[in-house]
Amino acid sequence: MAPLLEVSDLVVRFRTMGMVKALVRGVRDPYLDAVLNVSFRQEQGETFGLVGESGSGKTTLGRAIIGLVRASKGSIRFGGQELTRLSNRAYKRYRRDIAMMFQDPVASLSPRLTVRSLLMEPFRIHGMTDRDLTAEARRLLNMVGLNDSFFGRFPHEMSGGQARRVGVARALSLSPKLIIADEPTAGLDVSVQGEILNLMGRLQKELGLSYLIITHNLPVVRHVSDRLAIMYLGRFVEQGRTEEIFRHPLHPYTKALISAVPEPDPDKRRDIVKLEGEVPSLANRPTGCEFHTRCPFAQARCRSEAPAPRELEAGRIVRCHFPLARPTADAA
Amino acid sequence: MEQPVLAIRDLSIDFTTPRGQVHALRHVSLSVPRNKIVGIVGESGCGKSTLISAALGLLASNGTVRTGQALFEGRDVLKMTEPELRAIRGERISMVFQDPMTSLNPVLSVSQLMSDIQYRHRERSADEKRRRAIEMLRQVGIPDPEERIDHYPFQFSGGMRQRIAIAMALLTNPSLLIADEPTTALDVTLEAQIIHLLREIHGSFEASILFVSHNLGLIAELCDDVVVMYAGEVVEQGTVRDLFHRPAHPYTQALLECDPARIAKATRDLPTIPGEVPNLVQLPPGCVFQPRCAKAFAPCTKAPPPTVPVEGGPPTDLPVAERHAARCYLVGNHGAAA
Repeated sequence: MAPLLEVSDLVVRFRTMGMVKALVRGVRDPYLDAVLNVSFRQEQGETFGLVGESGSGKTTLGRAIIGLVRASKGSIRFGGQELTRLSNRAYKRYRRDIAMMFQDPVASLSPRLTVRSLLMEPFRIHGMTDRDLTAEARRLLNMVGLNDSFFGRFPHEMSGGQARRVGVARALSLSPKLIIADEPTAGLDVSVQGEILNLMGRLQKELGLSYLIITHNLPVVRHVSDRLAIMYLGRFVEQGRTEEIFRHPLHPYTKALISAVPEPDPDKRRDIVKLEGEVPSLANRPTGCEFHTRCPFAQARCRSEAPAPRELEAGRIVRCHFPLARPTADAA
Repeated sequence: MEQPVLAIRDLSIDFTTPRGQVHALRHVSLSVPRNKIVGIVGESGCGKSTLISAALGLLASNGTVRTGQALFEGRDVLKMTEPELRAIRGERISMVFQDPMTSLNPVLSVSQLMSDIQYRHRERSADEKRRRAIEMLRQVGIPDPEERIDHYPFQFSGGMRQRIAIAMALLTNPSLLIADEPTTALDVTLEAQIIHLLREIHGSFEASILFVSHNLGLIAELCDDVVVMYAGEVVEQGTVRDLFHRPAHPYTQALLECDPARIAKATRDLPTIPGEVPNLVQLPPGCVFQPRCAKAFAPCTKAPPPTVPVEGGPPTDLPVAERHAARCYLVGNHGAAA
């Protein structure tokens, strides 16, 4: 059976200046590659985590899958259907099957609509007005653990957790197969964060949903995702099963990210900063391996030659010349 | 004992709103000893921001102080006149804000920003101010400070901007640095760098730091003492080891349990604290955490518990952070009697 979602060699480029300006300045390539040669598959019912620092392209990748930005190259197949060359009108049909939860729980809801209108909006957009929309809105609210008393509320009258629940309800409205959740718990308190993640987990079990979770929160993604990809400057530097990536990261960047998360134990304070410097600019990609400028293990070859993605274990793809040692000795 | 830099004693603050009196802080006591890093941890609405505003004398106009004092180096900030306040704000107490983009004026260059903040030092020439600013940028780890100082805030990345904000806070040689969620807007690798920087400057500048965060990992990493707040009260305080290894208050325990970073085995069923933060207009009659507390028993609904030392002994109102204390009937002598 075809996987639910199959992305291959996807490139998303953004124009940085107009044609005339580029000509005048003699810039031959006035583009930024926000997503570069990304490939992965996601099965039905699976949770895939996308992790990376700001500007790594994780949100752009999510937006490309739902068709909010155009793919420049490569393919996105959803349930076997190629999406990249579809017109906007044709794309709309697939947007029922793919829903998106945007970043800020309150700001992603229109401030001028009540909860009831917010929940009826997806049906209206897709012309599904042949049903009792109030009943649908009530059903959705109940699914996310809120009751009718929220119908008349505006987004500013809710807490972050409640607004996030409404966001989940909106994403569920057209019975999608895949939900792209962009930072589903950012800005929420730790006790509320658990409630939202548990709710998403319960809905996944009940409805057989798949999630693509975009986040920079490693402690959260460790608990909720089956597989994981780590992005750096628009590329996947490592992907594999979440458990294995956390047990023994193979890419130095993955390891640095994991070790940068502070441990909530005062006896385990770190004295050294593993990763110095900051993410380089997309407009000025380093040569060779793009991580070499910050990599503690970089060697001459890393500066000149870009590493190709290699499958070092089943389903474990790493883009590094010198992957870190693993407990089992079969280093490439 | 040496006088603490900041001592909040029995502070209660109400806000007058159309919905009634919001009891934002109730009998809060804590102290920031000299050369220590004290962390305040708590969820949204626990009163962290109100507490900081009070310490800086920046309370909103609808706020009233019901009881208590906020003593900065022995003087009550809440009784100071506006000129007296201006003399300490930014000079003796500095602040690093959450969002480094919006806390720096976008139309001034870093050089102007950093010279302006030294306005009290009329004896310093413009060149002298600039020299000091460059030196400070170097200390917080900005590369090529001689050149970069003429750039504008938008030309720096988030992590660099927060370093600049810290450099500005230190230029005036404060005895207390208040950092309000300074890394929330930053990526995890930059967060680690900023925490490292804060620890370094704490070593070299002899400033006490009041570090406000909801991130337990950062608190554990950085702080000496910790104050846990819930719904406008201090529910527990003690050294960082007391709090993380022997949490006494059920809220602290629940908060630690909820942190996904502390759960070793991957799970889809994360612990939560059921219920909601109480309405601060109409508080529950007994313990403020009782409606959500799994360990609540009869006395908890009747009257608010006093703060008692965890090791036993008489109730204490002393704002002594070295002493592990919690506001709960299950703790200390109460616990033995129950």
